[in-house]
Amino acid sequence: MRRMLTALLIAAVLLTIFSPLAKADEVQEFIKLNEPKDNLMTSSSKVLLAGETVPNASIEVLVNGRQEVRTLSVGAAGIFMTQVPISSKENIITVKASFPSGGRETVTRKVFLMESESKLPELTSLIQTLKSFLIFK
Amino acid sequence: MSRDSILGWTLIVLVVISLFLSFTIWSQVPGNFSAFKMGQEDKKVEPIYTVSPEKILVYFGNSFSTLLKPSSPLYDETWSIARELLKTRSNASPELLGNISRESFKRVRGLEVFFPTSLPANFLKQLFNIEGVDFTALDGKLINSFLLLDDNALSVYLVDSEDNLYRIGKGSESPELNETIKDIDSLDPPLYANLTADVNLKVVGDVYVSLSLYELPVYTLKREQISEEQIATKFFPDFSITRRIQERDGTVIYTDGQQGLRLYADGAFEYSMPVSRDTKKAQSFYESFNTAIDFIADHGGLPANAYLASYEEVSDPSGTAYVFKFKISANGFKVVNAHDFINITVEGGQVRNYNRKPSFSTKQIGILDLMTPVEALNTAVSTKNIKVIDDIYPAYVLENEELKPVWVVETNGVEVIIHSLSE
Repeated sequence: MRRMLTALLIAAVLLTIFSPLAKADEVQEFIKLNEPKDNLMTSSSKVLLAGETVPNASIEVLVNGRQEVRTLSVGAAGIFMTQVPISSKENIITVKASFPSGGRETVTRKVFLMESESKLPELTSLIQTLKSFLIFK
Repeated sequence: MSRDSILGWTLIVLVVISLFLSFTIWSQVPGNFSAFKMGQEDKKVEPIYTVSPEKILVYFGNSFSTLLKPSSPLYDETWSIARELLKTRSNASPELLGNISRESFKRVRGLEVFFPTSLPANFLKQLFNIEGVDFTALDGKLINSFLLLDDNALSVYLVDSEDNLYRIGKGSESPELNETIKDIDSLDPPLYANLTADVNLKVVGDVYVSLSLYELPVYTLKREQISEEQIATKFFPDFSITRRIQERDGTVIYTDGQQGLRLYADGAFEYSMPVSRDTKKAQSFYESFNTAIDFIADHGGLPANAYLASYEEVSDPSGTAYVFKFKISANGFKVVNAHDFINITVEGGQVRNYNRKPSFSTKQIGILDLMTPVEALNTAVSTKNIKVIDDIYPAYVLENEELKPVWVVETNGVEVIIHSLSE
């Protein structure tokens, strides 16, 4: 009897762990930040923030710890997209996703604001040369 | 204060409010247009304008881009500079560089000019008068767009219908291009982002969406009254040998025994002229296109917002015929459910068939706020169960004699219309 109960218990545990529902939940909770790329250098005072997450999640965006854009509600496509203002030379963009299940996940990106393109001509030129070499050759 | 003066001041205030509201509505319109209107007849049409880009993607070099539509400020100037640079800076035999990756152009200033339909490479060479470049390597290729990138030197590229990138020119940097991009940037245009998704929804290819709100005008259509004689005299200069037959449904037929013209009650007409073997002369695609354009210019004119939507090459033992189909855009956007406005067949250097839909003029009756593209995608996923998208763009639909802005989601080659929720 005890053996049977133990076997049933193990079976129940295994079913819970490997059931499709459990797997689906596991896969569902994610946040994928496509933009901005980490360590992005830009001369623009705003950066594009775009990514994917679970449908019906909400997205909170912080720049250097301050909320700069309103909380985004994610729809059925799971896509979010907005532009975020930056003003410091070094900016930490934190994206917090709150999932319908109550779970949360956070992603951060570092973005550098260059003063102006003209002040860094050599660097810009070098980057462009390297990029064109890598892209087109 | 007397009662009359109170009433007078009230009237003045109401007039001022009315003028202010009218100004606000009109100032929000991205551009006026006269869709479906008969073009100025007998006016020579430059063939290049019928392939004017449906959009010009502008790369600012700082990860942002914008899209210029025909109604956008600086569109004409940008298009003019782009075709001049394509003509003068194409100086090398086409070199295949592999598949295009627009992601890699984010740090480079440039323009990508998208044609309304894919065009044969050799046709493009003739149309833009590109000299000094041998296009033999591009025989049979259809070109979707061309690119001008200023990466300390101006490079010219073509992108074919399979997204292959070919370099056809490289040289010194272009101050004109840089100036144009700076001018566009200084206007603070709506920013566009490359939409990427592959989990809940798969985005195939490069899809650009604006982060700004979309406010587009709604138009009502009014049929243009054109007299029967006015059309018939264009095809039959000598009425003494022309017969006129009226059918019961109101259709009128003109014929001189050889060519025929059928005028429908709604203003549409069809012209046909059999091409005899003796009068046929071999024409290339480019020459046939010019024949078609000249014929349209002389027979009803080509509306300013008409564009080459598609074409066909029909070959049989007696020769090759080309069918050119023109559509009308509204405010620079496609009218997705409208039929071809003009359908013309050129065979052996002569026009064999010419069909034309009735002409309309338009009047703006309001402005509609479209949902954001992300909201349109949410609607597409939740209500149409769409899982893969090839493109999403604003367009117009023709409903109850009105042109209304909508979102169009392209999925597996099918256009799905997403209406605004406020309707």
